Amino acid sequence: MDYRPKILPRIYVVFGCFCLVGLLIIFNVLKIRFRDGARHATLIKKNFRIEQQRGVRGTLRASNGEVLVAPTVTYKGGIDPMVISERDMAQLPEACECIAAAIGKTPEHWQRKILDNRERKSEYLRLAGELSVLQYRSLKQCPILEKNRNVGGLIAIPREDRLYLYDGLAQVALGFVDEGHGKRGLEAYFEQQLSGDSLDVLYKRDSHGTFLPEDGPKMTPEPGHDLIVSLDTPTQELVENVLAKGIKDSGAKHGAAIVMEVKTGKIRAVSNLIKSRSGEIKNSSENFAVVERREMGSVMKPAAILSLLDQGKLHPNTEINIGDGIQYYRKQRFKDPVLYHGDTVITVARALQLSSNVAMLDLMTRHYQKPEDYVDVYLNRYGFKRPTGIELVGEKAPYYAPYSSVSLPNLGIGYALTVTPLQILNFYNTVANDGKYMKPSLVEAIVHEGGIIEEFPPEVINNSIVKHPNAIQEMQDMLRKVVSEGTAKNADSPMLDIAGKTGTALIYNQEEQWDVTDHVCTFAGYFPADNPLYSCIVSVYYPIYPDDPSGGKVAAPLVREIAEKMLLLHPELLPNVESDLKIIAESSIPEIKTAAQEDIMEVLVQASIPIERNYETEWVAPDVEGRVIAMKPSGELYQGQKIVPDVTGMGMREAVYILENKGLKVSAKGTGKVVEQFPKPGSSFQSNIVVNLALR
Amino acid sequence: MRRSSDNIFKYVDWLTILFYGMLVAIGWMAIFTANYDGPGTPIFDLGTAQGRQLAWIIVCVVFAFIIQLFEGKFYATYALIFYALAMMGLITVLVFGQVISGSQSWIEVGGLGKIQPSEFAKFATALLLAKYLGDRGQRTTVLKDQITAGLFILLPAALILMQPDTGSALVFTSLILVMYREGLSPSLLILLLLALILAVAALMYDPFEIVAILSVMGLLYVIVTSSFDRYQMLFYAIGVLLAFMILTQLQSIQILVGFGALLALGVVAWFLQRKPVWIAFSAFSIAVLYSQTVQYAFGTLLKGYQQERILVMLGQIEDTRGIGYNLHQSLLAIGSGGPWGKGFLNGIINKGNFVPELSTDFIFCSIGEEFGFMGSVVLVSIFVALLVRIVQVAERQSSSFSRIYGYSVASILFFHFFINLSMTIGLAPIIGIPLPFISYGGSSLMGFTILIFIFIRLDIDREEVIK
Repeated sequence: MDYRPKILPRIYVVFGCFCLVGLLIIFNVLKIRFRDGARHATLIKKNFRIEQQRGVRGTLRASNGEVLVAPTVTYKGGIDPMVISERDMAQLPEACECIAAAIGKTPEHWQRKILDNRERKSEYLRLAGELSVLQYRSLKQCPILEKNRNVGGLIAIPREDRLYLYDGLAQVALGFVDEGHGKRGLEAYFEQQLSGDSLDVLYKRDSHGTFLPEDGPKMTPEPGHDLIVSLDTPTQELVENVLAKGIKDSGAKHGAAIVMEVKTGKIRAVSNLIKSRSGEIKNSSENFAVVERREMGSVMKPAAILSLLDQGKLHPNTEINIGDGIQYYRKQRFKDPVLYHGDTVITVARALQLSSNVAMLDLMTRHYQKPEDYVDVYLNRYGFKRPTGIELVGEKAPYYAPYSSVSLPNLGIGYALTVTPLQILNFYNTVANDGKYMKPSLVEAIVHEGGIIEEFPPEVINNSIVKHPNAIQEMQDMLRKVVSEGTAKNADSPMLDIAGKTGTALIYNQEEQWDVTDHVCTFAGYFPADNPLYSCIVSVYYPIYPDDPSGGKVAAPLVREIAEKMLLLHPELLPNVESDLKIIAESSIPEIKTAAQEDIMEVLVQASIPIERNYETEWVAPDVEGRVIAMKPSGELYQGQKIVPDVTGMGMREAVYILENKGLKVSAKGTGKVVEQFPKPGSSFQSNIVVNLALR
Repeated sequence: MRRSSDNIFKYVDWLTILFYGMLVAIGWMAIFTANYDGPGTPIFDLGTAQGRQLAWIIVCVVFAFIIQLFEGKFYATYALIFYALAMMGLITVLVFGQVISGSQSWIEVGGLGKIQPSEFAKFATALLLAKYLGDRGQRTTVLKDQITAGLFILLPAALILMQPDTGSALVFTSLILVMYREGLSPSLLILLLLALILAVAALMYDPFEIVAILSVMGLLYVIVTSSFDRYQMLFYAIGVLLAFMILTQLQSIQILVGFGALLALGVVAWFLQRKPVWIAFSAFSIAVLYSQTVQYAFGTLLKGYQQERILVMLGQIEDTRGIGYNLHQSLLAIGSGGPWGKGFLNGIINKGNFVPELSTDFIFCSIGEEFGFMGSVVLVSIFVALLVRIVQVAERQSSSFSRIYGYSVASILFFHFFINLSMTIGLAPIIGIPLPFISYGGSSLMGFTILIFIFIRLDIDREEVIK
C-alpha cells in the first residue's frame, strides 16, 4: 500500500481523461448542432424529400380472362457520369454499345455524351425520358449501368399509368385512377387491394435540382392485387353498342344497361352512356346503373302483383273492372296507357300485359290498408329498402316519398319511390331465379401472382322471397305474356323467348309537376323465359323519338337486340341445342392468335374443330377459312422480305427474338402476351424501325 | 474471503452489466433503425442486419455465462495460451483470410459466417499483459520489462497492420495507458501527446505557424516542469492557452506572432533561470526537425486514400462526394437531429442509406439524428460511466493481474469509444473501428463481450490473489 499516494494522481489522470473525452465529444456534437444545425436542417429540407413509392397497381381482368385495365410503367432514365470509377471507365465502350443497342443512337454518341458530361462535371446525364420496361431491363444489364446508382448505375424513376385495353369499355364501372388513387367504380371500391404497398422513398436533389430516388432494395414495394371482374368483354361490348345506338335513335340524354347472370347475380355487362353536347355518345362519368335514382313507373307493377299473389289474395285470372280506363282517387287521376281495348273487366294477367294503372289502383286500395303493409314487408323482402351492396362506391338506397293518402296506389304503379336500375334488375333477376335472391356482384376474385387472395362466390341473400312458390311461377308466366301479348311486344324475338315488363315513367320537374314530355323508358326482364340464364335492364332517359316514347317502344327493342346478339356469344342460350348445331359451329370457331403450332393443334383437336396443316413451322398464324382453320407460318413466312412479322399472341421473349432476327428494334409496354403491335404485321419497312408492342 | 460455496451472483458487479446491457440494447435499436424498411421490417430474419445482430446478442449472453463458469485463476494461468491462439488466428487470417474492402481481416468459419480474429486478439493481449506485469509486481519502471510488455502489445498490432487494418492496430497503443497506471513515466505519455499534436500541426499549418506553435509548446513544457506554486502555474497556463488561441486565429500576422512567441520563450526562460535556456531551445529545434519529418513521411509513407482521409478530417480539403462523403452525411445527420432528435425510425439520412457504413462505423449518426443531442449525451454518459466504473472496480482488486486486466479493458474500450465518436463527428481521421457494443458486427460484439465478462469473472474473485 506504500505506492498508493504515488499512484493515486495517476488514477485521477485516467478518470480525468475519460471525462474530458466525454465532454469533448458532447461539446463537439453541440458545436455541430449550433454552428451547423440550422444550416443542416434547411439543407436537408432543400435537398431531401420523402415520397410515397407505390407498388405497381393491380390489373383488372374480365371474367373471360381478357385484361381490361393494365398498369404500364415507363421510366425516366439517366446516369451520374461523375461517379464512374476510373476502373469502370475501361468498360465504357462496351457500356455505350449496350446503351445504343437498348435505346438507339450510336455507341459513339453515348461515349461522347458521357465523356463530355464528365468533363463538364455534370452529375446527371439523361438517357431517355420514357423508357419501356424492356428498355429499362436491357439498360439494367449493361456494364456500369448494372451497378448501384452512386457508382454510375442507372438512375430510373418509374412512372405508372393505366392502360385501358378496351378503350372506355365499362369505363365508369371500372373506375379510373387519379394520382395513384382509384376514383369511382371498382378502382375506388377496391383501392386497398389494387394499390400496391407504399414505401417511403427518399428523393435526393442532384446538382441540377432534379430530385432522384435513392437506389436500393427499398425501391421495390409489393405490387397490388389483381381484380377479376365479372364482366364478360364480348357481352359488354355488344351491350354498349346496342345502348349507344338506342340512345342515338331515341334522341335521349343518357341511358344505362345491365346484364346479370341469373343463377349467380354476377354482372356480365354494365354500361352507362351519355350524349355529349356535340351529340356524340360516350361513356358517362356517372354510374347511372347504381346512382340514377328515379321513379321508374310500371316496371314496379310486378312487385305489387307478386306480393298479392304470394298472400293468396288474387291469382292471374282474378278479374278486375277497369271501366273506361280513367279513374279518380283522392283527387288524383289514374289513367291507363291504352284507353280502349274492348273489355271493361280484365284479368290480372291481362292488366299487367296492358300495364293498367286503374287495375293497380283497384288492387292496391282493395288489398292494402296502409303503405307500410306493402312497403315494410314486401318491398323490403324484394330488396327495395336498401342498396344492393354491389362493389361500387356511391350506390344509392331506394328513397320513399313521405306517405300520403295516395301513396298506396302510387307505389303500386311505381311512383312515390325512387330506385336505381340495378335495384329493379335485381328484383327481376330474383323472379327469374325462382325467387332466390342473389346479391349482385361485379367481382369474381382478387388474385395475386396467380394465387387467389379472395373469392367472391355467388351470395344468396334470401333463399326465397315468396312463401308460395306458385306465386313466382305465375309471375314468370305473366311476364312472358307481357312480351308475347302485351306492351313489350317489341321485345319478342323469334330466336329466343324473353320475359319482362316495360316501364314508362314521367319525370318530375322542378315545379313538382309531372312534365309529360320527359320520360324514363325502361324494360326489365330475362331470357330465355323457360330457363332464365340472364336478366337484363335497359333504361333510357329523356328520349324524344319515336312520338310518345314508352318503355315498350324505346327500351324493349334494345333488350331484344342484346338478347339476340348474346345468343351468338353464348350458345347455351339456344332453346334447342341440337337443331341449331350449325349456328354454333359457325359462330363459335374461336379466334386464335399466333402461337406455337403444336399448342394450337392440341387445343383444336380437343375441341374437334377441323384443321388444315399446311406448313411445318413452329409458329403459325391460324386463319379461319369457312369452317376450317388453316395454319399459316408466322414470322418465317416473311423471311428475307422487309415485312414486319406478326408476333401477336407471343410472349415477350419470342416476340423480341423474331423481331430482332428481322433486324427490328423493339419497344414494349406491359407484360404477358403481345396483344397489339405497331407497325401492323405485314407492313413493309425500309430501314431499322422500332416496333412497338403492347403486352398484357 | 469468498467461499466457493457462496453464491457468485452476490459478487457480480451488476452496475457494469447494466451499462453493458444498455449499450447493447441501444446498439440493436440503432442497427434496426439504420436498416428500417418501413412497417413490416423483419426483426428475427437472419437475412437482415438486425436479425443477425440479435442472434449474436443471444450467443454473447450465453458466452458471458460460460465465462463465469471458470475460476478467475483459469484466465491468469492460461493467458499465454490465449495469446498464442490469438496470434495464430492473426497469422492464419494473413494466409487464408478473405479480403473485404481492401483488408484481409476475415476468416470464413464453416457454419458461423465470417470471423475477425483481430477482435479476439484484444482480450488475449490484455490477459497476457496483465499476467506479465502482474507477475513482476511493481517493476514496471524497469526498462527491460517495459520493453518486453511493449513487445507483447506490438506483436498483434504489427500482425493486424499487415492485413492492413490500421484502425484496429492503433487500438493496441491504448494499452500505454495501462503501463502508465502501473508506473510508466508520464513523460513518455506527454511526449507521445506532443508528438501527435505536432504531427497534426505539421499537416495543418505552414512552417511559420509551426514555429509559432512550437514556441508555445516549449513554453508550456518549461512551465509544467518548473517548480512554481499552483497559482503561478495557473497564471502561465492561461497565458499560454490565450497565446495559442491568438496564434491559431490570427493567421494573417502569423509571422509576427511566431517571432513574438519565440522572443517570449527566451524572456521567460531567462526569468526562470532555474531551467537552462538551452533545454527549451534544443526541444524547440528537435520539434522543428520532427515536424518537417512528419510532413515528409506523410507524403511518402501513407497511401493516397489515407492521406486524403486525414486531410479531410483536418479540414484541409473540402470533399462532399468522395472520401469526405461519409463524414459530410454523418455531420448532416447529427447536425439536423436537434435537441430531441427526429424520433425513432424517422431519420432521413438513416432512411436514405446515405452513410455507407451506417450500421458499423457510423452508427452514432443514427442515434444523433433520431435521438438528437440529448440522445448523444445519454450515450456518451453511459460510456463514460462504464469506463469510470471499470477503473473503479479495477482499483478494488487484491491482485495486480485483475487490476491490470481491468485497466486494459478500460483502455481498449476508451480508445474505441474516443476514436469512433471522434471520426463520426470529424475530429479524427476515418480509420474504421467500431463503437463497442453498438456497432453492427458479430466478431466485434463477441470480442468486447468476452473482454468485459472475463473482467467481471475476475472481479468475483477480487479478494483472492490471482497469479
